Amino acid sequence: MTTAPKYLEPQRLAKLHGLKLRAQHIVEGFVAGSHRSPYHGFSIEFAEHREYAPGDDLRYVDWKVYGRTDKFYLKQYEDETNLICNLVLDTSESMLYQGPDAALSKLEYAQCLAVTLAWLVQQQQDSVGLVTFDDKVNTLINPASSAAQLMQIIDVMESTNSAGKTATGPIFHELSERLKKRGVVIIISDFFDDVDSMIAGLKHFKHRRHDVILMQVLDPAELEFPFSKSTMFKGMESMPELLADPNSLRKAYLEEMNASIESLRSQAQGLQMDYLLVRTDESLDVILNSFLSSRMARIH
Amino acid sequence: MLFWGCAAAAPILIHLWNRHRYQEMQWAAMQYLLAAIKKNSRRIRVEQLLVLIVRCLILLLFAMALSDVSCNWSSSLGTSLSMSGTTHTVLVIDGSYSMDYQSGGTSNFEKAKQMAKDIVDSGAQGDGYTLILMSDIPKVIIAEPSYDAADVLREIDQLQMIHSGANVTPALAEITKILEKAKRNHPRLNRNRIRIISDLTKNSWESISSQDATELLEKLSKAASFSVIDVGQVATGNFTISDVQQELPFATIGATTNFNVQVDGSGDPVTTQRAVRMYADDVFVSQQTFDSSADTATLRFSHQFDIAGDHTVEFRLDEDSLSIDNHRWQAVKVKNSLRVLCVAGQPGAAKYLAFALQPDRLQYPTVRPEVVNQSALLELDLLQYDAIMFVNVRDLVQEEAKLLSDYVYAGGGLAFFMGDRVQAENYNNMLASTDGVNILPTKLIGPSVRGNYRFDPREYQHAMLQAFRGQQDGGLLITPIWNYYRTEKPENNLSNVSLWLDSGDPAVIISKPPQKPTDEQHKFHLPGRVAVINIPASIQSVDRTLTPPESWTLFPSWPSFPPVIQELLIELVRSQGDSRNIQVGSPLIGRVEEASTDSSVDLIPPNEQRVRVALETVNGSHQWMFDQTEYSGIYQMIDRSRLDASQSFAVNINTRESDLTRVALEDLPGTLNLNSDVDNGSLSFAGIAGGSATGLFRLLLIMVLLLVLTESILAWRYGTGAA
Repeated sequence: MTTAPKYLEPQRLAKLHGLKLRAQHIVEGFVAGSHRSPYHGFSIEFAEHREYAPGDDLRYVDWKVYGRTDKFYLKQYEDETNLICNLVLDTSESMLYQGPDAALSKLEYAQCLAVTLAWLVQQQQDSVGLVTFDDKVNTLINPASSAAQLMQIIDVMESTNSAGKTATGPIFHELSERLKKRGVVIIISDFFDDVDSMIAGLKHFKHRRHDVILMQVLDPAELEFPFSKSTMFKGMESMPELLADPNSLRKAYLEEMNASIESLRSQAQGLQMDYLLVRTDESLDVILNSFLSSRMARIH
Repeated sequence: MLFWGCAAAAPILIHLWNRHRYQEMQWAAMQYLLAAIKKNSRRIRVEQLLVLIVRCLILLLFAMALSDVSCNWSSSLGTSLSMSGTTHTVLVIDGSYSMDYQSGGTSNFEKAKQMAKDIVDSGAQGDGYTLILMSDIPKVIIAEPSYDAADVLREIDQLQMIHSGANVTPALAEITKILEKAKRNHPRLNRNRIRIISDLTKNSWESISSQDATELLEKLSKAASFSVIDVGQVATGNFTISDVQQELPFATIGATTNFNVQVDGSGDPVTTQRAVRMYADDVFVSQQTFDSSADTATLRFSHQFDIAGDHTVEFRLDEDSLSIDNHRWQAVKVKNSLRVLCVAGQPGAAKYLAFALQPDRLQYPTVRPEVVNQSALLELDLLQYDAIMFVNVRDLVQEEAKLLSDYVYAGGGLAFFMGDRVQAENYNNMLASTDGVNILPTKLIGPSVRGNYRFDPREYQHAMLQAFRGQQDGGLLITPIWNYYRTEKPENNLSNVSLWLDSGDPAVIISKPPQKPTDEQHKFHLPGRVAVINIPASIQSVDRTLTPPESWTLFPSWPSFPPVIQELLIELVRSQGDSRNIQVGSPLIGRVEEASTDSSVDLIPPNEQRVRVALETVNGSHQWMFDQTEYSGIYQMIDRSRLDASQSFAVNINTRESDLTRVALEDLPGTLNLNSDVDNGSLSFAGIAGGSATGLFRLLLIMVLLLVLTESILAWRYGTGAA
């Protein structure tokens, strides 16, 4: 892992043209530090306990039960050997935003993130699929664990054009129906949409017993609003223009933005969904490392 | 100020300009930005407006602090910004000689000068100063506001006290003129303050309650702030030589000249004896003491001059706190004898007169009469004579009248004794003409009817009759008079009649001819006196209506005749010494026999700063005049064409100012804003300054600083800081 951060820093990835090259670079980075990597076994839902048998992995011993019963029991996970992971990528116009201090646009960063996750899942011999959407589902690749799946995912993402508004609510409802097999659904988006509609869609996922992970990708400029000069803000996704003095608006904007993030985070937690705020100026491995570590600790 | 004030609009302009200068940017999180605008648009506008106002105020106050307010009082902005701008200070220093009062080794005048300098020192850059020396006639030292403090300080340093009194009312009038002029010519001076530094003596300030002063004060108080700074002393005791009188108006060699010295005042109770010393030509002559517990004393000094010519006499009183009035000078022109020309209208007519003028035959007679016929009149240099007396002269020709007029206006004394030959109409035409020579004090009517008349001295009020008071045996009252010459009674001034007849007609009339201010020919002259004596000086005047003709009077042979003639002569020449002994402020007038090459004479005042005075030639006479007699003492005229012909003049103070009684402070109008805590010289000038511009400058800068701080906090609070 010592070399991984350099490989996975946004500034470095930005120098590489094309998602394939970036994917290759990411994989190289992860391989270089994989022996100490925490990137395995994520997203398996606990199902039941069974008694320990010699040769079982001691990591799955439920020590709490041992403390109560003085017997070794292992946590048994559902579909432990056949994880299905669907990556749901927002390709709406707002994802094209790239702030003045960011090396990658939100979409580029989200693609890199998706590739990384896909590779990690594939490394576990599990199935991974891809959905891209804006105000409609643009692409849907069913999960598979074949070696060619990753390349197909990369090809699809690379050829996807960004356009249209974000319409998460209807999309999530649709996907809840279309993704038949239960699995992990990782939604990568800026979630610039109506929260109530979005939450309704997410509840549908939950109803279908999917394990949903929300990764909100935001540009640092969107989180800090660092502008000082008088600026004409041209709205993306058909939003209107606005001439404003950023200094006088900063506080109010940040209040609105933080309230939105907090609202999404709290409602996601209420639905037992994992939520991760991803800044596009942060290194991929740092984000994933902390997120997966905390997720593993919570599950095990 | 308006120009600098425009800088305050800069933030508004920048704000408007910035609305047209902006960067463009694609923005994804637009919904949050719109929500922020929707919820906070009103607050943001208020905050922006507040910051804009603060920024404008910063620039406005900064401009006010750094710049002169160049708007005048009449403008509304000037009124609203009256706290700013520059100040015109009118400094008025009391220049009366009472300010020479010494206490603690320093005179009040020096204290006043120091205070004036302190006021200038405490002023701000751009302030203007004018300077007035308050005296009887205020002396404007700096008439137009001077912005050079060093120059003003220099002028104050060079100020010299005038040896006269002072009057506050003319000073107020002069201040009014200066302020009006400054308002027109120096609009940037939008605040006025008047600082009068005085010892507040009653004589100088008693006119403050007059109608004129009240009106001036009311007018000035609307345009300026007043402050009167009291540098006077508590003690008012002071002795002064108030007058010196030479008993006879002339002095001759060999004769004793007497001086009566008047001392007035009140002193400290410790010193009971004070001395007055007499100096003749700076040589001590004698000393007399007087009891200083009395308010007044008259001392008689005598001296005999041995050399004819100009002499000076000084009387010095023991020194006290006010030195100026302890000295008094007298210029004395000592003659060999008085020369009197007696013009006889007929042979022997002046015999009694000449005898009366010189009754004794001394080696050095006081009076030397010369009897001539009328025909010699045009051939003589009349200016060589101290007096000319006409005795029963029938008539005069125009040339003679003109000659006599010039003689009188040159200071000579002239007397006309009436008689049976005198032609009234001729005298009236020649000497009492309204459009020609007019030196006769009355118009002649003609001889009276025969009767039995006597002199009526009327309480001996006239100076000429003082010698007869209580001397009824002298024969004046019983002088036999049967005829006399009738003249009109002087309409304007009956006091010109020295002696009356019991018929109610004047017997002797003495007066000065009127001074004509527009008369260029006589502008230098102090005219001599002219007398008309209606009683003949010769017994040759007879009433020819009687057979045989009988004399008009026995007066020429009567014992009262010589003393009357002697007293008459004294009256005729009394004013001749007046031109040599004047008061401070009066002009010195003199005459030289020959003009120097540059037609000027030198005059050396007491301060020894020699002044060149131009000569004017009028009718062949070379005359000069000097009117800058501001200091008491001896003034010496040097005729560079004849160094032996120098003349001395004594200029003395009017001792009215020697009364150090102070005006009642409670009687002073409140608008004067009196500062009287100066006995120990510890007056606070911060209070007098009335808030200096330096303080205002600091106040404005502090306000700017606070506003800058406020702006920073607001900017942080509303924008930058929140990030």
